[in-house]
Amino acid sequence: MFPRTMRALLLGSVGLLLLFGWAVSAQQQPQDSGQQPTQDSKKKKKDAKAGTAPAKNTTAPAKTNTTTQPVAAANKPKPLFGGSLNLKSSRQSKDATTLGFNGLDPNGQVAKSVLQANPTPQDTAQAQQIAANQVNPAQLDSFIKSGNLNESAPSKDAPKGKK
Amino acid sequence: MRRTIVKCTLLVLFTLMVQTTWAQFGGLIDKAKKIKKGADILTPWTPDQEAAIGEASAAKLINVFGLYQNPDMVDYVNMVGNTVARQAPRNIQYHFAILDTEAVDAMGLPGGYIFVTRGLLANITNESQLAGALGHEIAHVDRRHLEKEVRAQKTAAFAKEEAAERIPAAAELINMAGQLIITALTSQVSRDKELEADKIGLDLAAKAGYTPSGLRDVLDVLAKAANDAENKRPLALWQATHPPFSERVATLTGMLAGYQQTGQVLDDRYLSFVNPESFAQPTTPPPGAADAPGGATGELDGIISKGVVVLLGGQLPEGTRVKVRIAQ
Repeated sequence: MFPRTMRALLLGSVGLLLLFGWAVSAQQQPQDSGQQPTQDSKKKKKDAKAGTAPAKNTTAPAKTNTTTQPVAAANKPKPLFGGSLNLKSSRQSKDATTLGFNGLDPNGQVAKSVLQANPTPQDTAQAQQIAANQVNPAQLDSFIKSGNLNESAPSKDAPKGKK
Repeated sequence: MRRTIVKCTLLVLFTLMVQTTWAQFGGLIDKAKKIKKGADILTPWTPDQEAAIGEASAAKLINVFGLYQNPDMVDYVNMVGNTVARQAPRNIQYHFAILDTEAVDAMGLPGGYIFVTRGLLANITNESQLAGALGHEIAHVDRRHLEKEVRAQKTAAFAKEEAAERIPAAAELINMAGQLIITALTSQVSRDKELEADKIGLDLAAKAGYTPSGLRDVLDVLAKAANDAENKRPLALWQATHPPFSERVATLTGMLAGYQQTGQVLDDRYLSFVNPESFAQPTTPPPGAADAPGGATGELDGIISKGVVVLLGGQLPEGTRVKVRIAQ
């Protein structure tokens, strides 16, 4: 009785140890292969950092050049909205503008309260109106011709997406 | 006693084996999940899904800035935009509109909705620059850049719609559009996507017959303007969501070496349709706008009678906003 039990115990233990060993080695394999991409990504990050450094250098000489040359009047920064307000045409009779930086806070960023607000039915109607507004092909052709632009267009891809 | 020892040993060994095996297959399951996630990101929305999400996002953007409604100018932007969009590969109907804000920006939304701001139009001087800017936005839509950005975030709402492959219901659409516009207005666009849009945008404008330097030229104007502290506010939104102007100007200048400097500039046509000065001269101000710079100002005498201000020296148009300064 005793030797039989011992034999079974020994065989069972050996079998389990073999399974355990296989499982451990199988677990280590993907870890080893997993280290490669991280090393690659580290390398890529390093390369990327090295890549950005020359890019910065390329812009630096441009700055020094502009400082050594006499600054032309055209190159001086101008206020974007500081011009005179003389009217050139009567087209503004159709305008409906509210002026100013709608939706933006004093820092020029979109205010959080505005971002969180839902669109009104009027906003939705305006979006639908934009979608419905299609350019007349004949008018587009005429526009292209009058501007001496390219009248030919390549064939389009078929619409893609899940079916 | 011996049996107990044997049982305990077997139990310990079995537990160890189960643990290691689970760890092994657990890792495989995680990997499979990641692969599926990656595959989902690459699968585009159906045309119907894209159109619905685009329209809802356009409504949200209109809610933030308002629309600039000058039919002639909007038609002109649509003409230029469609001239460029004809050269884009993806078969999609593009729609162009003007946002009523002095912030200098442009945006391309899923479904072919392209917006330029009044602020950008005011600082463009010819049609080739407009074509370049619109070409850049068309490239974003053509390559589904914003769609990929928001879907990569894998928020609950987007994941749900993707799984269902259906057009979202109204409430879900509002939620998705909100997330999409928040991403567009607050997140930095990746340099890779911007570079790709610049490259394609330049190419589309050139193929349409415009001088290829239009996009570079408008960015150059803005790069110089950005040096003036006075321009901080109109450019802040653009600068927060895009790579630096100077970097893009340098890259585009390099790309231009591969193009012949031919093509149309069309400055007269641009200025005949877009009159930047007129942006500041509303003749039909909506409520709340009359106190803005450029509105009628001056002083008139009046007296309070039965709780109402009665003007003594003249009349003001209905709806004029006034401030009352008490004289006595």
